[in-house]
Amino acid sequence: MRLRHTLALAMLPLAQQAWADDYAYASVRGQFESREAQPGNPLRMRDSTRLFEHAELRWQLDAPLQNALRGTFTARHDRDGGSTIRINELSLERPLGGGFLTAGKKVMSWDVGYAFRPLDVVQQEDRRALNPVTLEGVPMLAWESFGEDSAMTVVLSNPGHGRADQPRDDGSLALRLYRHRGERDEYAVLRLSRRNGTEAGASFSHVLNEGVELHASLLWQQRHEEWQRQRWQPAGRGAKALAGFTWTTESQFSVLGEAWVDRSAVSGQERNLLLRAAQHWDTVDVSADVLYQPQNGGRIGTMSISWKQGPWLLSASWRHYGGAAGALTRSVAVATIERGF
Amino acid sequence: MFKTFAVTMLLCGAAQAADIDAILKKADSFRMLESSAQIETLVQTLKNGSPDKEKRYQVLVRPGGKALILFRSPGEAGQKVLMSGDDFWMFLPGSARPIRITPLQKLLGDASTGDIATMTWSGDYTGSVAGETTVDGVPCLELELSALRKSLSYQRVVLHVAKNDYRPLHADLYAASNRKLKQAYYVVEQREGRPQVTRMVLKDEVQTSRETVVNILSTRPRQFGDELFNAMYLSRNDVKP
Repeated sequence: MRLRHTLALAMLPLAQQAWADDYAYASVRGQFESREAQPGNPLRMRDSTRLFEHAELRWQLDAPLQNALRGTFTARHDRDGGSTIRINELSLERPLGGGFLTAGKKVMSWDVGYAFRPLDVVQQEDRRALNPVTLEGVPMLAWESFGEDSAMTVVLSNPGHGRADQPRDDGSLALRLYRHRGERDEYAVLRLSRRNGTEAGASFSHVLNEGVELHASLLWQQRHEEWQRQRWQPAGRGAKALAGFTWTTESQFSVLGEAWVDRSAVSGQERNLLLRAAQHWDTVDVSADVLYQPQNGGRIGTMSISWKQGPWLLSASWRHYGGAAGALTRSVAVATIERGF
Repeated sequence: MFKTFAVTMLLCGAAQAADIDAILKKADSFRMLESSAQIETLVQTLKNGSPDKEKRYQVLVRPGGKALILFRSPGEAGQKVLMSGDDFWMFLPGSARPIRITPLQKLLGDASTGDIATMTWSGDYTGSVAGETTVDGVPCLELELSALRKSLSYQRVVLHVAKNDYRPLHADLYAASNRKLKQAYYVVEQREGRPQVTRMVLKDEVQTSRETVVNILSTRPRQFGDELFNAMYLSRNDVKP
């Protein structure tokens, strides 16, 4: 009898309402990339091609005591040699103090923009990469609480680190507040780090009518750095600002427009204008976009087509660099075949 | 005299609205008995009568027009769409951020999430009994319904319910432009001791070679926390079924 009671007590935490789902999703892809160098470019770059295979596994495990374990692992093999296995995400999540605690490595993106995201102060990524592979998360300790129409997130990223070689590896403390007000989502962000001091920003996404959405972000930085001569250089107070819209029609044609200022960008590339048009038909998506840099006349045009049938995805993209943007590279072509499981 | 007539007409109008609400609630009960539930669906697409695609979705529904759609098929697993009244968000696991989308953007995927997640008419539509007719030999009431919210996928619905028990049999679904988009046929079968809609066949009136079959595999009453329908929660773990 005592043994039964002891076993029952020991099992009690396991009998609490489970809250996480077990799952495992995988995908494999093969990708071919070809780069055409600008003749006579100052770095004497040559035309190049690259072929690689990439596999991704996302999983979640409902662990005892209301814990959940999540992970994203990737493996990549380049045909010209070299293989890598990477833990992109691995985190433990559990309820704590009326909210939820996350400990581990996790992707945490925050901003409302598409091509440029000033409020992505924790997660930084190459947002205009052609067919990018899986993002790599940031080591963190995070606490999040959720109301019906609001949320708060506190993140200690790269705990124990001060200033690192690259900004994504810097130690920092960040706070994000979110409020849902009907047709508008509002965000406020505060971040403290040794590299940039205090950073504060706000953003919104507003659904104007059934087809139009407007969004904007603004980030003020106590200090910022600029990428010059292959290294980060101190450059005083900084700011990043973005304004954009999306427009979608009943016939599934959509347009995205964004304009932004980024004072941490290379000189001459601080101001950008992007216009993208896309059409969706059943299994086929076609898109074209132009990025224009008014300060130096740089122009980057991209065309993409993708076909998705069940678990299969075939896609091809071609990007042309013109004006100052084409000083090193004339064009890039990428073709991908991917299957999900 | 005029005052008496006006009051009588107002009362008649109110009575008819009450009748419509009662009919729609009864029709809803064949689609979803519980107001908060987890629904497993299998959506099959046919082209020219031949199977084309098959996708699985798990739908978590709560009162107040809240629904969370979890994509479960290979190639799109991990994607989520959150609906909260007139507001919509999409989550793609690759970008790990919830994206606010417009009502028209939510139609961009393979299946209209409105077809999968909107399981009720009462509260979303109002209208009147337009007449009587028969569908496949069953005597029906014809209900002329208009959407109460602009974000609903279909702004006008002509719904046919059986005259004897108000079970849904057929509907014509229209866009805001009054263009007929789809015809829906409802299959009611005995499940767990009561008649339930187990299958919905949607015939596309624009791309006429297309037909979509939404199979309701199971409906289970469940209670969900507020956080599950908060857009910021989309980047966290999935709940256990």
